[in-house]
Amino acid sequence: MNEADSLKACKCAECGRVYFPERAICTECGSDKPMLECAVKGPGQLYSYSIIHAAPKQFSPPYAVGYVDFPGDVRVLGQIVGWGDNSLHQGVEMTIEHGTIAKEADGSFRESFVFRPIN
Amino acid sequence: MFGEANVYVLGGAMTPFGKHLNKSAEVLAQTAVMDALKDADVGRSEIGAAYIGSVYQGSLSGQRVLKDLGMTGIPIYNLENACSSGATALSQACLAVAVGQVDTALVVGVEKLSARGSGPLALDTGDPEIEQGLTMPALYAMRTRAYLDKYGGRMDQVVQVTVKNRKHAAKNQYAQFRTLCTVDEVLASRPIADPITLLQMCPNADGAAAVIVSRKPPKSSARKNVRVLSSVVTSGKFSQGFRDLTVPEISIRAARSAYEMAGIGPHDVDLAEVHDAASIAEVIYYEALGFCQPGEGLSLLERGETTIGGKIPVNPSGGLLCRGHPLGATGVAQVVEIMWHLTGRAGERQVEGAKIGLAHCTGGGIWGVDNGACSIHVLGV
Repeated sequence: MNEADSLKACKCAECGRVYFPERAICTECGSDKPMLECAVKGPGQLYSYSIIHAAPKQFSPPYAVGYVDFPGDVRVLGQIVGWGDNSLHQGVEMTIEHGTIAKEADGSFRESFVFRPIN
Repeated sequence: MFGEANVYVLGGAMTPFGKHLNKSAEVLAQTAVMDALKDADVGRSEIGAAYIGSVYQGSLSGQRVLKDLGMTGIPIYNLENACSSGATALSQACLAVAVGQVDTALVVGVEKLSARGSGPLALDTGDPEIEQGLTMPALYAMRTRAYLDKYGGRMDQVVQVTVKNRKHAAKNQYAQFRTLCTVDEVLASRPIADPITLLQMCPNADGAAAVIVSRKPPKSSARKNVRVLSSVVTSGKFSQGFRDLTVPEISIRAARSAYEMAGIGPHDVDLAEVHDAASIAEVIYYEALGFCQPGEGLSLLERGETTIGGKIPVNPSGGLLCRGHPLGATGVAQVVEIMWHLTGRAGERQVEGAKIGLAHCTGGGIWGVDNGACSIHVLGV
């Protein structure tokens, strides 16, 4: 489970590139040495977003997704909570939280990191 | 393109694109194949190899098409590269012909999406962005927003792509959506992923297209000889960090290769069929293909330069937006359209004096890559 305000990421033992989600092989340098654990901490910067109205069954439109950029050149696509009219635009700072993002076919809920704009 | 070899496009054909509920994918493809053979004046037995592009039609799609035409027994290659499947099939046919592995090859692109239901195409699971709730329209929506944030501009300008492509499709008997529409109608259509509305996204469609390529020139000299001047397929580079959504690196790279191979520049292109899966995509591709400077796409569009009659007509067929987008068929249909213009057979859509045409398509959106695939073919007379 991720920390309340960070993402559980990994770092290449060879070249230091940070990845979220975690991966086994570094796509930058090709190293397959075991990755080191590291945390990607907020706040991040919103690059772009969209309010989705048509989506697969497990999601509940309207909901917002966006690309948030974090230090260390990590970009993450996530759902955004707490968006009101006009609260989202490029450059807005976002914190990392956790929440429910989908309802699976078997009725269970999908939990994940989510982003919230900082006012 | 490949040394001294010439690769001729002897002929081609396509079915109308749209919902063909009562025709199987095989029947659609067979119609396109039979019409292409007639158009090329080539007999079944002259086809030495067949290349089939489709995404969802299942295993051995080529064999299922050609078996009923009595055309199996030759090498059949079934290729998939998402929306670039048809163009990828063409690229491999061109390669085989150029090196002399086969004299004359058949290329088919086919897709039947109507059987899969309506709504956005379900993308593969295991993709972390899909797991979060990203959809293809939402990705294009973010691209739209990033473009307007970077260069300025308004949605009423962006949606002029749909309005223009409807004007073109109105003259295309093979197109799915042929009624004219206004900027207001596009903006007022159903919201899909803000700021993208339904009429800014290409429709699901069924259809097939086929071309015949050969190292031998056409038997008849009645038409100009159409040659493949370049054939490019590439894949997106994986990137997990910051990337500018308005700069489609894969298409820029593919275009550079295509121009180099053909020994031409963007100003030499008389018409282009590009991957307008969403309105914003066409604007971004004007820039990626070098038809204007970065940031000038909306201006090029508004001035009418990409409308038939303008400096660089784009998507005279109506494009993916209005001709329709049966995934595997699109790449081949783009080439059929260009072939028609280069041989003076595009009817009311004819781009006058067309000598060089460019077909560009991209394939899929999977996490971390701008696009999974891109294919560009340049044809010339």
